[in-house]
Amino acid sequence: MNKFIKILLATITSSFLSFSALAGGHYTGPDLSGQKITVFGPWLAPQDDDFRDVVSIFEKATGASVEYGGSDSFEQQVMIDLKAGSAADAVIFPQPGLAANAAAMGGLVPLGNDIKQMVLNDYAAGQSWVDLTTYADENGTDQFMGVFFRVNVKSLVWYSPDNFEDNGYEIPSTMEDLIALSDQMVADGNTPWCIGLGSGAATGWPATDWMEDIMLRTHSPDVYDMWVSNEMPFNDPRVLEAMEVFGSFALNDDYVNGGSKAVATTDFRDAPNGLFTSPAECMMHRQASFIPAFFPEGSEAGVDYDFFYFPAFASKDLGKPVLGAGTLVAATNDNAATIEFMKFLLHPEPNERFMEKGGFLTPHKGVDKNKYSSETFKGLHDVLLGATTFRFDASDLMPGAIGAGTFWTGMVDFTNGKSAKDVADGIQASWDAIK
Amino acid sequence: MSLLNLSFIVLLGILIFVSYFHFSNSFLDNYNRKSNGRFKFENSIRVIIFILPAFIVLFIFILYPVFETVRLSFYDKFGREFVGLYNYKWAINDPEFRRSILNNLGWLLIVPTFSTFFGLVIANLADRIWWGSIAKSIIFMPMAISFVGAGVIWKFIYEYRGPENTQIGLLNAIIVSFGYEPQAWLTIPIWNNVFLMAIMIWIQTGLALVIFSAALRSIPKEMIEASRIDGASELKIFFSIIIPYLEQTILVIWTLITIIVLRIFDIIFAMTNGEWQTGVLANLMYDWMFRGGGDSGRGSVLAIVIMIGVIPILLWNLHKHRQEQKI
Amino acid sequence: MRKFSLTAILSQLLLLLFVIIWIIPTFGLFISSLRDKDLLSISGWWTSLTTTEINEIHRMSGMENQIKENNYYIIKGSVFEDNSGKKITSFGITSKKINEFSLGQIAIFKDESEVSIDEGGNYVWKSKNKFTKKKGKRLFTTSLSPPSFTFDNYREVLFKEGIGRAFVNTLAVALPSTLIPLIICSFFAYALTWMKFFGRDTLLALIIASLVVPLQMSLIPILTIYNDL
Repeated sequence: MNKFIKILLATITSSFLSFSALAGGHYTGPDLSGQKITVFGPWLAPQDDDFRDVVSIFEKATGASVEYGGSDSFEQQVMIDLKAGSAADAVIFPQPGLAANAAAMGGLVPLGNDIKQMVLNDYAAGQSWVDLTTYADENGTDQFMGVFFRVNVKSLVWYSPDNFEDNGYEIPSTMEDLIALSDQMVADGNTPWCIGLGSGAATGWPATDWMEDIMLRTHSPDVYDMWVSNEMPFNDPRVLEAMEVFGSFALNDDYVNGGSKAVATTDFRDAPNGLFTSPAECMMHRQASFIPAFFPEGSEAGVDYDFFYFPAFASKDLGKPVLGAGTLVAATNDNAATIEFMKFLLHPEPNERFMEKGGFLTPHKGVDKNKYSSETFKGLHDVLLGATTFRFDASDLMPGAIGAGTFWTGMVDFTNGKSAKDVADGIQASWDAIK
Repeated sequence: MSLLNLSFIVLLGILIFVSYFHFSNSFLDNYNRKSNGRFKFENSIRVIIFILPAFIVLFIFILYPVFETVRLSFYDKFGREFVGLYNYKWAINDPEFRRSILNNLGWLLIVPTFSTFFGLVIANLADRIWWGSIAKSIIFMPMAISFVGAGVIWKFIYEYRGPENTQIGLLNAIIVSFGYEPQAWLTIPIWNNVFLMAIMIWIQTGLALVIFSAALRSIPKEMIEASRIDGASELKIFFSIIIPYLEQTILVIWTLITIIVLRIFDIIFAMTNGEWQTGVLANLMYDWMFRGGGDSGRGSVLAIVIMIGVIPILLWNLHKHRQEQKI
Repeated sequence: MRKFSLTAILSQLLLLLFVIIWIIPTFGLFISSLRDKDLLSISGWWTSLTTTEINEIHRMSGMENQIKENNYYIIKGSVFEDNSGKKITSFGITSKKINEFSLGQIAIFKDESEVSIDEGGNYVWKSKNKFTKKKGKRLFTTSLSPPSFTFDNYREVLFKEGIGRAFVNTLAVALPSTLIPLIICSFFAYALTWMKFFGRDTLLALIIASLVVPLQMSLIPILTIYNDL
């Protein structure tokens, strides 16, 4: 009897413990004391400090030390490091296209089936996330090489609920309503949009987000996929159509704060300030879910700002497409410490810690939704997991020369007055040059 | 690495070089003395001792990359396949390349000329004034700021906001107070290059100023005093005495700044990243080398063009040096 | 020798002009570093040198701070921090009319509660009914703001983790790269100038050529060498 009770207790306790290790409990890892892992990524203040806090969980649990370094010109720096063989152990890529380049150069190591299985099990639509990090290595064989950590939803419009209330504006549910609302705002003497493309060496990327959202709302997802792989050329009339729609927003001096000239010269981090000035410089700002990190200090989600879904055309009947992106962590070194670090990132605890800090979203099914820093983010979580169509940011999927090169500069030229056809031809030429 | 370790290594490095020179030379002296001062190769070996360290550094960090670059310019983007003159043909036909060369020429013509001119004028103005050193220090200060730092400083001057909004850039604020419309200075074709050059002139004038100030001291004072007593105006003294005396210095400074300007990259990178047609060859090279996977073939061609640009100056300097040797 | 001639005065003025032009950009940066972070992209740096008019949005306190006086529920507070020195000239309660009311006037909200504010930014918000919202309504103020400076930016940067390291690293690069070339090159220059040897001119040409090699070109081959070591 005693023995039986002991065994029963032991079974109950151990299953309880293993449950807690899985269900958002604390991460425990092997002893890696004395080992050092270097991480390189694109995050600067304030996300870099947030990340350092998150990895401190790993450091405390395993005794290893993790060093993170970030850079504004990450896309160029990582190529230098990979070519010279001095890349960090783990690299945080903001673009799968760039990671694919790195893999083709032989710079990344496969992560193995254990980790792949963890993603398939733990992430909503796990297969899509696995597909997004499977690349051809230097021999041409497809390998699973990365794990997505920190994703964002892009099809969002940020606004000030108080300003909307003061002016009597309602949240539009269709694109036609949104355009009518913009016209109404102009008629009232307000400026509808703040748009800023500036980002140092990466200037132009916000315009590619606009393009992608519009592509998803003007054509079916198959067309989008063909556009990404260049099966459909960039200067196809369908792409030009989308560019003209973007132009109807960005090139319209009445629509944009500062006029179309300010679009390319305003930094993307300064652009949303227009929502909070007195008098308000603009009413709406279309941007991804990480932008609240750049809102004025002390702004509260749901009170000082909120978001609504960037609507689709009612007339086109394409459902509710959602554009998203994220950063993926890949390894250049397959030592035990780095592999364990990758497994750590798939545990709920680091995800929840980052969630509490704000500006963080994850497709991880096992996280406690209540740990999100605001109702807004819980809403975003639902958007992410419930879209009718979900597509990954196209410029991040295209090869680096386009997605981190000519697509960016082409869109800047477009806002400067270059014709849609010339811009598209130029980008298609760069596609042809690398084939 | 702790501060202690770091200072130790720095000191060690310095010590190594000092001892190298000291001991190799005294060793040679000893050897020479032992063979009764008749060591045949004494001169050659001493020369080798003197030039060896610098030459090694020169070779590894300059010469080897140069050869490697020339080699890469004949290969494809990954440096694997030989493609002959393909990259060169591409360069000649690329409109961006032609634009960059034009921009570089613009920079080479405008910046050295103005920097030298301002440096000369200010050196003379500040020469005998009691607050001259303060003035010179203020004008020299920008040289101590990194190019990227200068970019941040001038951002507050050139910044553009829409006509209905408050301006935060000084230039636009001044323009608006006179009733004109604000301009996005760095996007205006052609003129945006001039605005970027202004930053370089702002920095380099300090260099010219300092060298001219030193050179001014070498002009015999008696000549200037004499001409003053004779009734010559300051302007006449400037043109007839000072300029001829400083001719050599003017040319040297002008060359120096030209060489610095040929490599210009940081300012343009930080302010516009080559957008709006402001790119120079160095920006283009950076783009091709590191953006989106990198194309080392094309990047190398651009690097070589930059180097070719300096050959005329090189030859001229060599010529001058030879002339001086003969004197 | 003192000269009071016209030329002397003109040349001093010209020099002064040069100095002012040269110092303005750096001065602008200096002032910007002493300003409040959020203000940097909203107004020019020269505005913080004099008293300027600024528009601000404030949120009044919510239901937790209400007190009952007579028959009214009252929330009191201040929109400014202590010693800000700002003086309100007009205010508003909706973003569409931010300076509808002048000092001393009473503004009435849609829900019939009233608010008034004094020059120093102290407001009194009265309502017949209990306040039920956690976050108060917005108040728009136009005020005259005197020059104000803060060391917050310096504090944030200087005491941020890693700045000490960055400074040490800078020294570690600056010191050897000044001293060691000094040593090596003095010998080199001496040999080039005073010693006759074969290949001297070629070496000189090479040195001048090396001045032009773009730094980026040397990057990758050297990094590769370092990694192989």
